[in-house]
Amino acid sequence: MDNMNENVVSRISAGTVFKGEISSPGDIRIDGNFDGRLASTGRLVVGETARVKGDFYCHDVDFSGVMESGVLLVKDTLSLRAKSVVKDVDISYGRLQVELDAQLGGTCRVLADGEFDQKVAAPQEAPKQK
Amino acid sequence: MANIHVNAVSCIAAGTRFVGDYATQDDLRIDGTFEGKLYCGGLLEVGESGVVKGTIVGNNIQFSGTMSGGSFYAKDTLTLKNGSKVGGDIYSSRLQIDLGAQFVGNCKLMDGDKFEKAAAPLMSMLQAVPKVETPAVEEKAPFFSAGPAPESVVKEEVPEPDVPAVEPQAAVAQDEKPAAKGEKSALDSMAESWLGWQKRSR
Repeated sequence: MDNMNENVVSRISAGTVFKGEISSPGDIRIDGNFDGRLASTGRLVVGETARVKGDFYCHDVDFSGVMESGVLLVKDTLSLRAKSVVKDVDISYGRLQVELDAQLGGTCRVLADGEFDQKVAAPQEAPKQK
Repeated sequence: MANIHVNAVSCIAAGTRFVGDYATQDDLRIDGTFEGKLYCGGLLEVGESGVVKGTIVGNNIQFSGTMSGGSFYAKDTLTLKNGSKVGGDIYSSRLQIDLGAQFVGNCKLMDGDKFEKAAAPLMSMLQAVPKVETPAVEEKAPFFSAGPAPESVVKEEVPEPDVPAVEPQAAVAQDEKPAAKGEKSALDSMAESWLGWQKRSR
């Protein structure tokens, strides 16, 4: 979050609801409600007030909110902060950090080489492959 | 200018694409692409690189980008700035089109009904969301509040004007008119007459 370029950050502020798809080359910050698919080659920061579900394909994720279901596919680092709640999510990561008191429920695995590029290249075509 | 926390303003940055239903009571800035249904309860500003398509419902809309299909519903003002291109329908109660804007489509003055109809499905999205708890603002209640003073709270030893005494209010009352012991303060009399309380004997 320290190295976010303010001008190219997309934000979903607290109190906002968005259902749909997002694709972005830049960084994204979510403090509201999001339900859907998100594909970004940048960084995703999910704030404490955020409630999200769906498929997320990002380069880095800094997560402090609540994620109810879906897929979290992170090319590099996934950080689950102390206040985060992750339930029933398939997580694939390059590197994983879970802080003390974070709640994590789901399946975790390490991403294979090239898997992220393959999936993000076609984010809007088929639904997620299980 | 008020202090605005940067994360409290939603925005769709340039290069980003949002497809779907979006509802917010805050301000929103679009510099990227949005397709779908959008409700914005605050100010919606679309920059020059912004491209929208679909149903856009807002209170105040300042538009400088491109709209390639769909409708604008503006409850108050819709402004199409120089450089904007709109190919769609416009419903607003006040309209301003700057020199240089391009508009092709239907235009109609808005009445309350149309706005409510357009906004309803999106606003229901917002209402379904549990409210985010913001820290309570400590508000000192007005000195004279309706309602009888609970017996237990009024202390006999320190006669205070009868208000529904919650502890913070006691401090306010004391500052204003500390009543002498055993006497009825001017404030007490006023309270009685205004609110018709039965005064307990002191």
